[in-house]
Amino acid sequence: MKRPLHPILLFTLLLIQSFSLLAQSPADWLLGRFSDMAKYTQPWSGESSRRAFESYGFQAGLTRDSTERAELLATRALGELKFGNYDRAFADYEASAKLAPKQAGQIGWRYLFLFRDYPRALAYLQAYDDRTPNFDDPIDDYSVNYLKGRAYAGLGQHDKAVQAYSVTISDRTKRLGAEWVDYRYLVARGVAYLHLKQAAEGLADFDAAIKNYPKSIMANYHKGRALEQLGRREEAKTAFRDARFFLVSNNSFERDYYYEQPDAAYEEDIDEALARLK
Amino acid sequence: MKTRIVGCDVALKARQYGLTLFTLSLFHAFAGNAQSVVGRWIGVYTQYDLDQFCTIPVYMDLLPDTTWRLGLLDNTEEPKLGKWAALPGDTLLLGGVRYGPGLVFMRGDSLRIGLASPMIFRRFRPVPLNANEVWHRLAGQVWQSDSTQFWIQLDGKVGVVNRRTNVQTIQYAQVLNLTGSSFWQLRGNAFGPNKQVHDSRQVIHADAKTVQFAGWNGRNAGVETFRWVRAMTPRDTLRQSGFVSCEGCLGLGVRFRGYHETEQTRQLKALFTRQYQPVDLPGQSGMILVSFTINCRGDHSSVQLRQYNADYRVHSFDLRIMNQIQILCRDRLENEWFGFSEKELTEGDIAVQFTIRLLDGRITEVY
Repeated sequence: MKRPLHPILLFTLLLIQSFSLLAQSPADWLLGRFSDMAKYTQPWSGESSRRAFESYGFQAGLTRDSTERAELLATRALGELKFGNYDRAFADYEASAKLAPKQAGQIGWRYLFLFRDYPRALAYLQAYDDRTPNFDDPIDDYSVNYLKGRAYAGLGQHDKAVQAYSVTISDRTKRLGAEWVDYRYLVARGVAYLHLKQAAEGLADFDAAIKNYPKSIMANYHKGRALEQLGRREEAKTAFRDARFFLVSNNSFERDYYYEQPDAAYEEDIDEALARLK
Repeated sequence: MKTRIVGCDVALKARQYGLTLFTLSLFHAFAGNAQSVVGRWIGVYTQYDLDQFCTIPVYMDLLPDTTWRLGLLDNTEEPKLGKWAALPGDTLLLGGVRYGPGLVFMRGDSLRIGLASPMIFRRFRPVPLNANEVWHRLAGQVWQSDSTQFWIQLDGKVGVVNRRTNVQTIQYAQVLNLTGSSFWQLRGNAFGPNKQVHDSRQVIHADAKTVQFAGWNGRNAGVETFRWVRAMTPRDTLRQSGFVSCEGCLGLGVRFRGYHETEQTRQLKALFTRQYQPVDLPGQSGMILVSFTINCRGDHSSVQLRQYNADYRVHSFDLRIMNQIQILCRDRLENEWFGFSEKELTEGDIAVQFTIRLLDGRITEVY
């Protein structure tokens, strides 16, 4: 039996597939179909088809291996999300988490980024984190404490967000050194500090973020906000101008492969800030 | 509720897999009999998904000298050439691709390649018919099958009218010649005769009142008869009903827009937050998925609104909420330019989707 693909890999394949097939000639397309036929005796999830995702449910019903069953259900859930069958998707996710508790992390991730359902996201992320309380577990590309911080920020609980972000920032600093801390984590904590009117702490985080990624639009933009809160208008203007420069040279705001960064700065935000300081 | 969902799954699985097993039982494994597959095969359809089928407008030759040839019926590209061989262990080699046991099935004159998303071919049976003569019978006339009416202009433009819904789609027809036999093809859309083939069938009979076709009509494989209705008149005008997408099966549907945002999309979404008037309705929480398609000409499809409650079950929000959302969609989404570049649009259709999250009648996020 073919195991389901890792969700991130699956998303990547869907995306690549959707773009790579645009410029084919009919004959090439058909040849592609021929080579596909040979590869798969089971529907391939990269097809992103109802048939493929249904088959995972079918396979899940056949296997006695609870870990494999959990993975199959989680993969089917991803398909259900794509087709808008959310109730079925989350029923599958819950069943999956019961069979394999580590699936709770993935579910929390979905609730957080796809649904912005912060209470549910937090419940699942906490359950995932509680399995190994003294370890900052990873969920795909992120650390669980960063994701918990995002959920707290979504709920407007910025003090708790700062605590969660601090766990992951300290952990990485201790293990790898300050220069290896993901700049997005520093920006996120800095933004939470701004919400708490602690601009000086925020400024320190934005400076650290810029050190790790000098071309960051959002780090420069939020640095400008921190400086503005501190009454350092000229320095704030410089930071906003830097943000604008990097936005123009990148020709885009910041986003990861799938999502806009929650703290991303947009052209209108930056222009508004510069106009404010004229 | 959970039991009901599981019950649905079981019913669906039983239906789906029962059908698959039934279909497969009609086919026989290839069984390594080289002679049985020698000859010319005509593409019938390929199945992408449980409910998604596409015609495959090709011929495939498996010649006795081991030459494998795959060509388009309209001959617009050079055929692809390779070798074929029947290998031990119920394995077939086609153009360098090895099909293991269980991937090639034959039943009478039908050949099925693949299991997960199969391609169906039928053995080519020559029916000598002059393609020009067939075209002259069809062109300038109105023909109909049981489900569809075809208004065929002399220049090849066709109004394909669904007889039940009366929806008209513009396509382009031609009759092709393949070694003395004739094939009918419908392709393209209201914007012109592109490479997207919707209908590709062999003409097996043609007289003044009836024309018969063998192949896949979009729903069934078999023989279908078109009956003559009347001659086209100068008053018959062909008109596309509603939105038309630029992509078809060969383009594999609508391009996934992903999570790419532009300043314009962000601003448009911000409109919902600004212009929506909060309604104090405890319990009216959940999300509304807004989706529509922009075709390669920049036209919008109608906006689809899918509503879910806070537990992600399909739901209907209070009209005081939905009326506002619908007005914003109608007045702003359908009239505001979404800022896609000409290059992006000519690459194909673009699917746009975003989510409005509500809490007790208030919009909390649009993303």
